[in-house]
Amino acid sequence: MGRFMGRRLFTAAISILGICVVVFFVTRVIPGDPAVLLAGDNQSEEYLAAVRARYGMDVPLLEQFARYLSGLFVGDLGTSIRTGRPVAQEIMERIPATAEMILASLLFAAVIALPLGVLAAAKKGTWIDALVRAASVVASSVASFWIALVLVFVFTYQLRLLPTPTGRLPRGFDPPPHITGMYTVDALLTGNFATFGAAASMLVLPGLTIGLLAAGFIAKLVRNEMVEQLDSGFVRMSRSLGISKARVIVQDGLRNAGPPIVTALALLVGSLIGGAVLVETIFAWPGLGRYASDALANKDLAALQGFVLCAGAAVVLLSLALDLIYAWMDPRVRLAGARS
Amino acid sequence: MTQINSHPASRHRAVVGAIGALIVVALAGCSASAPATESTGDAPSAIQSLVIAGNDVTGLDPASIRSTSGSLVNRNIYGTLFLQQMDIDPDGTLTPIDSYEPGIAQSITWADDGLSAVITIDPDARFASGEPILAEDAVYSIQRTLSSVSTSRGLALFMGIADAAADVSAIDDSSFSIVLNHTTAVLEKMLSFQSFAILDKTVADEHATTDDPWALEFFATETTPSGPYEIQDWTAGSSLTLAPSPETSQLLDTSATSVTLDVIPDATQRLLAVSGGAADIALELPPELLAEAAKNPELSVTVDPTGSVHYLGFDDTIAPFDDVRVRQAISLAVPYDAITDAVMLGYGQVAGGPIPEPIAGSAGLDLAYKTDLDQARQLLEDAGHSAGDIQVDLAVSSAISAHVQAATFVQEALGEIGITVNVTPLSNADFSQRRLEHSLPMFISWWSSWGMDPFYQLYFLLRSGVPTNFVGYSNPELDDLIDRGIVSTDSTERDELALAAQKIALEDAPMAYLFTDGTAIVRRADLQGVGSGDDRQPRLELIAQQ
Repeated sequence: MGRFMGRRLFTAAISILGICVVVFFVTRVIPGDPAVLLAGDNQSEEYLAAVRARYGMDVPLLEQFARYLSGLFVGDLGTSIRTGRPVAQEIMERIPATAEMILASLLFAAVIALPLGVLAAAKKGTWIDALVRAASVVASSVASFWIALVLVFVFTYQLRLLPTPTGRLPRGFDPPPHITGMYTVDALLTGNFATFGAAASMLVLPGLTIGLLAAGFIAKLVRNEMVEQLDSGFVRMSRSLGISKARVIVQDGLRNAGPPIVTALALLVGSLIGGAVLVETIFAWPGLGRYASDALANKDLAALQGFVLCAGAAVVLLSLALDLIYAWMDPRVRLAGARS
Repeated sequence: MTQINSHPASRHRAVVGAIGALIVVALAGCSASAPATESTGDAPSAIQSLVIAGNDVTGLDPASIRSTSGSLVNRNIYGTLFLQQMDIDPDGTLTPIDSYEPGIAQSITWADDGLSAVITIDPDARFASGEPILAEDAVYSIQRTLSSVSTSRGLALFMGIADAAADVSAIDDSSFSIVLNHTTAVLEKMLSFQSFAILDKTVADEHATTDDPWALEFFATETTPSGPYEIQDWTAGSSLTLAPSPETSQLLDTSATSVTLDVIPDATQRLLAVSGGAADIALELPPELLAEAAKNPELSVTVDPTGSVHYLGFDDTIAPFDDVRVRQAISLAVPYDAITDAVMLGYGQVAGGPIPEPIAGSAGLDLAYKTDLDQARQLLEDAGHSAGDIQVDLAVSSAISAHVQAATFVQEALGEIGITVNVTPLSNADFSQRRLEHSLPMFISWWSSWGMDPFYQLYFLLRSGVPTNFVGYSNPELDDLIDRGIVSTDSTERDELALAAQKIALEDAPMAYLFTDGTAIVRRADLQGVGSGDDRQPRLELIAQQ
C-alpha cells in the first residue's frame, strides 16, 4: 500500500508541475498587453514601462518563470494586475462560494438523477427507460445560460417565489460569522436560521441550473451501471432466493454501482470548479469561474495562472484521493497499480 | 463487492431534515425584505439603506482607478479640495453646474498674473480616523496623482503644473501653494476629480517602501477616508458597504446611512434587481435595457452627458487613409442617424465632431457631416479609387457591444460606396495593444474626457504625438490651437479657438465622429439627488427619498 501511495503521490506532483509549466507559457501566448489596459488615459511609454516593471513583466521569460516557481513554494501566486491584490487571497476568498454552489448542484443532481437512473434501469427496455435516456440527452445538451434565464424568469419574475439573483444573500441580510465561508453552513452552525433560509434561497436557482445539466449525465451513468449490476449473477441469485426487487435494487444494485458513480461525480466537481462562468455571471455568484473569466478578459496573467494551477491541482488531488480510497477498498487495484 | 448498510432511523431523519430545509427555503424565498425608509410628507427624507447594482470594484487607489464602481467608491469615500456645484431639478434629477465650490479647501487665492495660487485647508476638515487634514496631505495627494505611477499623470499639462514635486508645496499646516507654468481655466475643476482624493500622508508614509515609494500596494486595498463615507465591509467580487464617516461634516440630514454596492456582472440582472426592489439604483446598462427600464413607471432613467466621442478611426499615415478625400468620403458614407437610432436607441446622439455638446465651445451639429452617398462616391472617384478597390479590416473591441453593432452599419454603408469592410472583433486586451501600436488600419473606438473641457478632449484625440491619438493625425495648425486653448482663461477666446479647431478636425476628417453618449443611471422613481457631475460619478450624500 505504501509503495502504491508513493507512486501515486509522485505522479500527482509531476502532474501539478506540468500544469505550472503549461499554464505559465500558454497564458503568455494570449494576445494583448495588460499594461496597456491598465494605463487608461496615461498611455505614455514611461507609465507602461513602470507598470511592466512593477508586475515583473519586463524581465526575460525564463526569469519570470523562475520567479513564479519560487513564489509558488511560499504560497505566493503573485499580484492581480486588475485589482492590485494577492491572487492567493482572492482565490481563497472565492473558494467557499464555489464550494457551496458545487455542493448544491451535486445535491440537486443526485436528487433528480439517482431516482431516474434507478427507475430507468429497473424498467429497462420500456417507455420509461427510453424517456429517461432521452431526457438525459436533452439535459446534457441544453446551454447552461438558457436554463438559468428560464429559471429566473419563471421563479423570480413570474411566480415571485425566489429572490432576484443578486449574489449570495438577498437585500437586508448580512453574512453570518465566518467559519467555513459557506453562508448556508455558517448560518446553521451559528443558529441563524433566517440567514440560512435567505442564503439557501439564493442558492436554489444556480444550484438547480447546474444540477439539471449534471443530472442528465448522472442519470444516464446510473442507469447504465445499474443495468450492469442488475444483470449480474449475484443479483439474479438474490432474486431467486425471494428477496424483493426493491431491496435488491437498493442494497445490491445501487450500492455496488456506487463507486463508478462517485468517481464520475468527483470528476464532475473538477469541471465545475471553474466551468460555471455563465451561471456565476447570471446569478452574480462570486465564484472562481467568474474570477477566471475576468482574468482572461483583462489578460491578468497572475490571476489566470493562479486559477488554472489551483483548479488543476484540485482535480489532480481529487483523482489521487479516489485512487487511494479504491486501493484501500479493493486490493486488486493496489496490486495492479504496484505491478504497472 | 462492497455492501453498505444504512440504519432505517437515520434514513428517516435525513428525509425530515430535507423537507424542513425545503420549507425554510420556501418561506425565506417568499419573504420580502423591502428597504427600510422613512417618509415625512413632501420634504425629502433619508434612506436608511441604499443599494446600488453595479460591476466589480477593482482597486481603491485614486491614482489608479480601474473600474466605474471603483471610481464611484473613490468619489464618495474621499474628499477633494473642490466640489462641483449641483442643482436638483423638480423631478429629482441632479444637474451639474460649471462652477466649483470649496470642499476640503476653505479658499483659493490667485496671484494677479494667474501663475500661482494659495489654497487654504478648511480647519474643520478631518479624516475618518479623526486626524485633521493638513496642507501636507493635500500636497502629497496632488504630487502622488501627478507622479509617473498615476493614470492621471496627464492632467498636469492642463493644470499648468510642470513638476509637482517642486511646484506644489506646503506653506504651513493649513495652506499650500501651486506654481504654474501657464495660466489655466481648469485648476479647481481638476482638483475636484476623485483622482485628486486627499489621502493621509502620515499613513501613506508608514506603508511606503523603497520599491513602492507611493504606497501603491497599500492603497490598492486600504483607504484613508476623507469624504462623507467610509468602507464598512468589502467582500471582493460580491459587495461593498459604505457607512457614514463619523468625522466629516459632508453628510446631509437626508444622506443614506448605509450604502451597499452589490456586484451584479450581468446587466439584465441589474435591471431585474432595480425593477424588483432588490436594488435602488442600477449602473452601466446598455441602451436596450435602458429602453426597457423607461417603460417601467416605478423607475426613472437619467443619462448625464459626458461629451464622449465614439468614432470610426483610420490610420491616417497609410494609404488609402492618408488621402483626405478618402477620409471625407467615409465620413459622408456613415449612416449616423441609423446608428444612433438602432444601436443607441435614442440614448446617444450624433457626435457631430470631436467636441460634442454640451462641452463648452462645441459647434454642435453645425459643421457635422451629413450622410450623402453620392458625394462620397464622387470623392472616392476623385481620389482615384473605383468600386471594390479598397478592402479593409475594421477592428472592434468585442467587449463593447455598441461598437460591434455599429460596425455592421459601417460595413454596409461603406459597401454602398465600394469599400469592402471585414469586421474583425478582438478581445479588449488585443484591441487595446494593437490600437496603441497603430497596427489597425480601421477601427471603432471612443474617448471621454473628464471635466468636459474642449482642449483636454482635442489634445488626447488629435494632437500630434500624443499616445492616445490612435489615428496618428498630425496638423501643426490644430496643435497650435490646442496649445493656445490649454493656456487661455478667457471664455470668449477659448470658444473661438475651439471652433477653429473643430473646423480643421472636420475638414481634415482624421476620423468619422459617430455618436456621443452619457452616464446612464436607472433609479427608483422616488429617489432624488441622483446624477453625476463632470467626473461621471454620483455623489451619494445627495441622494434622498422624495
